[in-house]
Amino acid sequence: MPISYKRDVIGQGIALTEITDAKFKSNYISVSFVSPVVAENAPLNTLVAEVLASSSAKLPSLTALSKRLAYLYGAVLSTKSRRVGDNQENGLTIEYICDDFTIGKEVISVEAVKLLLDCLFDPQLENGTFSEKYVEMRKTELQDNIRAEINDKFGYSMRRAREVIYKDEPTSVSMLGTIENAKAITPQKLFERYKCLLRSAQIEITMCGRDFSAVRPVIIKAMQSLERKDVVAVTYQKPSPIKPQVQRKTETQDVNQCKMIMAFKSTCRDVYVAKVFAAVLGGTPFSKLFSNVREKLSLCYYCSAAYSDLKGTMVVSSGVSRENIEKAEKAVLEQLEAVKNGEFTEQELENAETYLCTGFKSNNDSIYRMAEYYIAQNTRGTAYPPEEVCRIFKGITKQQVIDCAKTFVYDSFYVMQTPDDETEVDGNG
Amino acid sequence: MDKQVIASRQLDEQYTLVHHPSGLDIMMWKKPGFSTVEALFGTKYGSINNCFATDDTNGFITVPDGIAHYLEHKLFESDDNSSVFELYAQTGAAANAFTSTDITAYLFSCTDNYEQSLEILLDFVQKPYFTKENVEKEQGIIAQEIKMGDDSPTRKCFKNLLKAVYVNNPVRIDVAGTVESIAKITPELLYDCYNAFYNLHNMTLSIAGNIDEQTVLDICDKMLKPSKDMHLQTQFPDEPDDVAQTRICDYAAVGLPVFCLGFKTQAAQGREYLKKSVIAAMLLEQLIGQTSPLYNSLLEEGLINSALGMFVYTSAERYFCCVIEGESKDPDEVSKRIFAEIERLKTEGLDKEAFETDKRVRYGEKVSSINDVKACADAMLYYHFDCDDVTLFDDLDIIASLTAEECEQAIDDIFCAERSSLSIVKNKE
Repeated sequence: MPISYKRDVIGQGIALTEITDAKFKSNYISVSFVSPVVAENAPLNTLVAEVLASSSAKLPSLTALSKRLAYLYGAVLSTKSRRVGDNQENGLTIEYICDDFTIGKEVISVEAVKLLLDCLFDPQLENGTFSEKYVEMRKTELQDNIRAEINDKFGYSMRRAREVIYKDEPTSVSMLGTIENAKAITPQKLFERYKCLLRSAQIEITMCGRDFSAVRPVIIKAMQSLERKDVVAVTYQKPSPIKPQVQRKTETQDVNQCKMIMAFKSTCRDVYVAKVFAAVLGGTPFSKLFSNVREKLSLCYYCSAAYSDLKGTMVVSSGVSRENIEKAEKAVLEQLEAVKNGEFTEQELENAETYLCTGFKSNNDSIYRMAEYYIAQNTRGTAYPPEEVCRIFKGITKQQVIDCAKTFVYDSFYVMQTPDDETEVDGNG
Repeated sequence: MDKQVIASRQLDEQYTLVHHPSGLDIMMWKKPGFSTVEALFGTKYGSINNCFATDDTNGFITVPDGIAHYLEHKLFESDDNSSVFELYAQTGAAANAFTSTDITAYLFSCTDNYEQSLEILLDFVQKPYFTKENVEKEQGIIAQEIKMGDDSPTRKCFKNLLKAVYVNNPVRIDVAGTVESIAKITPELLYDCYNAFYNLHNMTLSIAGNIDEQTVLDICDKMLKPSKDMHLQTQFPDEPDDVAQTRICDYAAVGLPVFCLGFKTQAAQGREYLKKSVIAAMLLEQLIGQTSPLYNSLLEEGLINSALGMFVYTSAERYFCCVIEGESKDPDEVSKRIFAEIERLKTEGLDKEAFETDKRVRYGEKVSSINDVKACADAMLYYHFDCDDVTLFDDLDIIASLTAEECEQAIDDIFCAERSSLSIVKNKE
């Protein structure tokens, strides 16, 4: 358990979460702008973070910035751009070693944090806007990333599946946008977006590590100097509507292994019961899906279930060979029915709960995972320590899991398959 | 029992090495304040060990490619049909295994009941059970795994690089083998490999985190079955200094061409191996690291993006290759520019300031890495398998005493353009 956790509102729409534990030898700080996903803004927000991570007024080139980070014992400055339900989180993070462990206890923490804040709030400007050189460089990179999405077959299939699962919802929007949109971005347009985020996006600061006493006042001062207006509140919990019929989509790609993704949606709003249900069905190496669909039936190389409470959706993903797609789909549905019918033992339930507890408690041992853990807690409006969540898991009964399972409805089916047949099928089924 | 404490005052850390009477080396790292336990039970056996002799084999035998990895999969089965995962399910541990070119290891991660999980680990790895039926059943699953790997362009590119760099060295063969080679695997061959390499004299247990050393040793005393020395000998083909081919190009659906450039040099052993690895890593940083002039000009010209990475791919005594990998619209131009930069470094020497800064980066990386229980357990095992005469704190001394001149002198050997290969994967034209 961490030694201390606290969360404070330090400005209009600005929250600072601090988790400290003296066992760590490095510190991690994440500063994010959180805003509702809007298709035209999504790639701009992504690009703002990339440009901010390229230079600052004080370190006006990528080389100067990289050299400074290297000098600070290889402090790592990274961008963070991701979707959180129907919202987008974009920002910068820094990790640096604690002053107690530098050579001769050299103090670097304040300098590392100032570097982060300079990148975020004092960017390198030319004629009152972002440096054209770095905007162009990051635009090219954004286009490369759009083109390279296909290189990661798993990620690409998930993105395509999301378009089916969350049709017409913000969750289906690409964070990268299209090549055409990327090309049309100008430094002025991007700078306007940056100013808008500074002014009105929710700002979440999360710090996790050994000690922040010296840097906390520096961060608070920087945040309080921001001019904030019309802050847009974010809603994290937005369950996806259940479709009247299963939506099906099949695409072909030059792949050796087909990716099959099935989505199930639910009205169950108890996140921890739903997590236990997903674990029993397909969240562990002894789950129904793993032991039956993979091990006993040898229908796929992987087959697992994951539940998103923000969207009230469970996604089952698997890698299958083409001739097994139909059989694998049927087998997954059979296992879901089995759980709905209570065909699992108290032991299986206990094992799934224990497995989840191990995962939750192990968050205590990593500065990133601890930070991420409390960010997720915040999306649920809670701040339970991992031990409290484990206590909740351990109290969940078989009947609760059955009742929760029964609320899950088959919603969407997506397959990316090998190209030996030219058929592409869209439609309802 | 021979016991040795390895400590670093600078990092305020220590671990213990015990030579157990059974023949097993046991490495233990107690991490106060941490909740998790990470354990690896590993053997110095990987995909490159495909030709060997023991008292049982009647001379040297050559086994099918991919058998070490296949054996790893099969060891999870037992004679009473119970799955190892089901046993772990009751302790809450997350279990896994991996096979690399030179190591096979079985691992678990947990927050509670590590004693029981350790017993499960030590028990199942010492109890092989291979039958015709269970061996045949695995072929479908592993074939799927091989196919999944083929779908990753970066993995394909790296696999091709090893085929281009090495003429005879078995590192050029994929760890999982091929769909054809694994079809030749029989229970008898698996037992031959098991009896040869899963001898406790050839194995190490590495455990870190929330542990008690005496408890670990008591469990080892109870569970370990001393194994007879089988006089294991391994044989490797002669490898010429030259590469097999200087350029290899393959096709896949990619957004942007991916490339790997590899420089071949002689493998080293012992402390020299560690020193050569450090020198190579520092030279890579000077050549094309984020603070280098070459990296920044390639990035600004749009010839590379931030997906660029570099690493030293090496195994003590067996192979040593420096790899630069990334995405580029023109990999041949990138390669040309790298060769030109190597020539410049040879004539102008290294940037001394950047070199000294890089030492700070490496120190910082070491501090950050020991923040992580898993990284500690992994590092103990890898360092121990690589060399007998170094500890995992020794690289701090090596780095501190290294001079730019020593690195400059190594450029000719480590970055020889004539002993390099470029592997490219791009879209079919």
